[in-house]
Amino acid sequence: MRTTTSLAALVPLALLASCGWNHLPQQESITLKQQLWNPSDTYPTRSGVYVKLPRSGGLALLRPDREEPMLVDIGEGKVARVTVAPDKDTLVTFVERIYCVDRDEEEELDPETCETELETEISVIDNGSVRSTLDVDGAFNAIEYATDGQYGIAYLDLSQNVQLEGVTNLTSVVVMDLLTGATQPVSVGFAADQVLFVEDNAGAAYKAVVLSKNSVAVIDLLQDQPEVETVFPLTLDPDSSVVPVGVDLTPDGRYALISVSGSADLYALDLQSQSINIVELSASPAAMAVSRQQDRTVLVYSDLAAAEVLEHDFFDVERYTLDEPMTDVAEGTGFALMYSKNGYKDVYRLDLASGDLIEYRLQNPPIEIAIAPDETYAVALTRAEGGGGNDIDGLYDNNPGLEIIDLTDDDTDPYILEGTGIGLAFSPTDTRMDTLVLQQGVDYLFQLDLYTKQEVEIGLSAPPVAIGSLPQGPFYITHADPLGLISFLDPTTGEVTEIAGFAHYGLIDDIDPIIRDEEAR
Amino acid sequence: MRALTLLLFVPGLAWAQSPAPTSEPVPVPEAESTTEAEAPVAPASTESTDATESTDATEPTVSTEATESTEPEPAEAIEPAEPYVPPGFPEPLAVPAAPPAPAAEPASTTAPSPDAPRSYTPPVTEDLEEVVLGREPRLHVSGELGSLSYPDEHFTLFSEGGVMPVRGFRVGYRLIRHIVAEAAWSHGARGASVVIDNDYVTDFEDDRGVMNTAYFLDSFTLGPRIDVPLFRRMLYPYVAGRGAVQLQRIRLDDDISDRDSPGQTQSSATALGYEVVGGMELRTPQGKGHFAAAWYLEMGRGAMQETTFEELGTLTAHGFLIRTGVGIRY
Repeated sequence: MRTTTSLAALVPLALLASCGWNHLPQQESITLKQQLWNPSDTYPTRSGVYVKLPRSGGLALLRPDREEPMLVDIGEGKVARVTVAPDKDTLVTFVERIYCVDRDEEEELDPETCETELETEISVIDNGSVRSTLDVDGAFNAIEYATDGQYGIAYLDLSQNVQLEGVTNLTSVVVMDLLTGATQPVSVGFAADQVLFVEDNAGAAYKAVVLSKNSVAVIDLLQDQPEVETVFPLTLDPDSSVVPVGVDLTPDGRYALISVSGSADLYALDLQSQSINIVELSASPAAMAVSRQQDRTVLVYSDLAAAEVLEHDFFDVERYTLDEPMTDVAEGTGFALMYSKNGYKDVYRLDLASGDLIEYRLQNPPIEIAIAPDETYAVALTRAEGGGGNDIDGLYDNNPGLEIIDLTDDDTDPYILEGTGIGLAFSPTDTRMDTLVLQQGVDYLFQLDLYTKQEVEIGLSAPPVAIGSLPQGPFYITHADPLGLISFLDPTTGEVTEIAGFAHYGLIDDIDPIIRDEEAR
Repeated sequence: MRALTLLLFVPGLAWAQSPAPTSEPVPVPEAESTTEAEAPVAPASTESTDATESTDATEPTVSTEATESTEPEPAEAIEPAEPYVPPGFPEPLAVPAAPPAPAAEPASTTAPSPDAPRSYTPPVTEDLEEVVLGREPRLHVSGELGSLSYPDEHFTLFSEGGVMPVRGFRVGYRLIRHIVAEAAWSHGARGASVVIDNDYVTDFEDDRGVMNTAYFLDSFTLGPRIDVPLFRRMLYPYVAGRGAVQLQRIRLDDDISDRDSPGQTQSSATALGYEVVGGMELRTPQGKGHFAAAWYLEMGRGAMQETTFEELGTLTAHGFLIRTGVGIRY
């Protein structure tokens, strides 16, 4: 009787407690200020795609052949910056660590209550694991690499979001030998922000050119301890400020061509004879591109409907008059493709050998132009221009588009897209030249064979944000999924593999302060 | 304590005029007569078979026949040497009707020795409660609500208040007079719709993402409760210490409208811990069948070990807890 009574009493209680068990509770609405991952901030390597996880401070590795993502063990710390070395294998990361400060020489420090300080170190990651750690003294957030991947120069890129703590020296960079792990700080000038490497015919870097405000420093990398070889002042007037905006090296590595903000002067620094040539241009250049094959530099101007070609022997300038001013230059083999992102519809192809200038007229203004790998076509993503009319021109004006530019002729082939193009990639084979187009808010990938004009729509589970490719071939597409979603596409088969949910790694994990060992203290 | 309880108990008896039935044997006051001149009470009752028959579970243990069968009047029985019976107190305490007749026979045939020591042990309050109210309910069954503290800052992903409401039930069994063994299960679920402020595409559209988080808790506790009945078992202050096992589950979902959305994930973990509480239980007057309804409120502190949810990270629950419930005791 008692048992029966007990069970009878339990039944309504159990029913009460079990209400809604199969539903996800949603009692509140919460806003997170920090994203779990950024679909526009991914790092492709031969090992896979690395994804930074800003909230947890971690780094995830996604491989196209494995469904399970991998969390890279970086220890207690936060990955602040990531760069991919030129070998496409190595990832170099800036890791911020919090250390307990032992000012009173206490025997035991409590990580929860101790006074802390922030330090940055560089971790070299290979195939998902930390290969080596480099200590860098100072605030740096960017690295430029030599093509061979042996040297890297860390500097503070002030164009990025910078958080400084304590006393910071803004005049130095750190030369890193990624093979030996040696680091050497070098004082180069105030606010160094651009780095170029001078390489020999075998591709080995032997000098570095570091641009800073009012000066350009040349660093000799082959010394036991890299040091400044020459400093080129860009002005002798301490009251004036010369800020470099564009820099490139001539193919022989002898001259560094530097354009400066608000000036029509082009500085040609002779790195051998350590002299400066100043070339007077028609205006302040908006962009420039150095042609390795033709040993010439093409310059375009946003305020001048003209393009100029600079030869590198005597720095003579040849001027080409255009119908519209151009802002960007895409470099091909022996030619340059010039276009404008300021709303103009003209595109020019300049043959640097013959000097022939071919004009293309797009239906809509371009937002991005990419030259196909075989350089027979270029593809332009265009934006909707607005306007009225139901005729064919009105249709083009009201919709974003895709235009195929035939580089062997002067034809263009326009397409109307469903959404604005946000990403473009090419997948060449022996018989096909597929271009893959991502459209904003559209959950499929538009694949177009440039040779046959065959179209395919590859379904995606969510609208894409960006597209990239791994060195070994597969493409990856990122999606605006808060918990992380990346689709890998095998271009040969069209097979799509998704990896999702990786952004939750370390979501509720603390970054604890580190207590140094006795010797380090 | 007993004296205090007695003091509290006496007015309580005055309030409850009708004695509760009991099926338990009434303790026999020992050595109530010390001289031959004094009327022995026990022989009178033992000679009467009616008195034995009157020990019915539904009737008071006092038998008027038994009283009448003794020579002395009840008034005469209340002498300074006799145990004091407060007004309204059931007379059977003064009249040992409960002892079975065979056990009392020797007393009826053999007079107490004049040299026997004159001693008296008053009945303890618990005994009185046993007599008046019957045996104490042994089985406890309750449904309860409560909340646990989660000071871990990561818990704000599920609830910004850092509090986990729970519901469940509790069962207990009174092992001995003041100790109840209790086992409980409670369940809680907390979740939120989390807007992630990441406008990563540099356009004028809102690219913020929304995910849903949920935290499920099933907690099992086991431990003793030590209580003291007051006011005729209507108030039980108590303390309790319990071991706890928590089964926890975190679920994250990028699209709750899709059961198979690619981003959904869940992780489970188990944590051990304890809780120490103090509380108060109020009961209705104990009725027939030793039944009483109860309401209780308890507060205390719980502490669980740090729980690791695989690659998600760790979560810790500790701090203040409060719980209330209603149930039955019988």
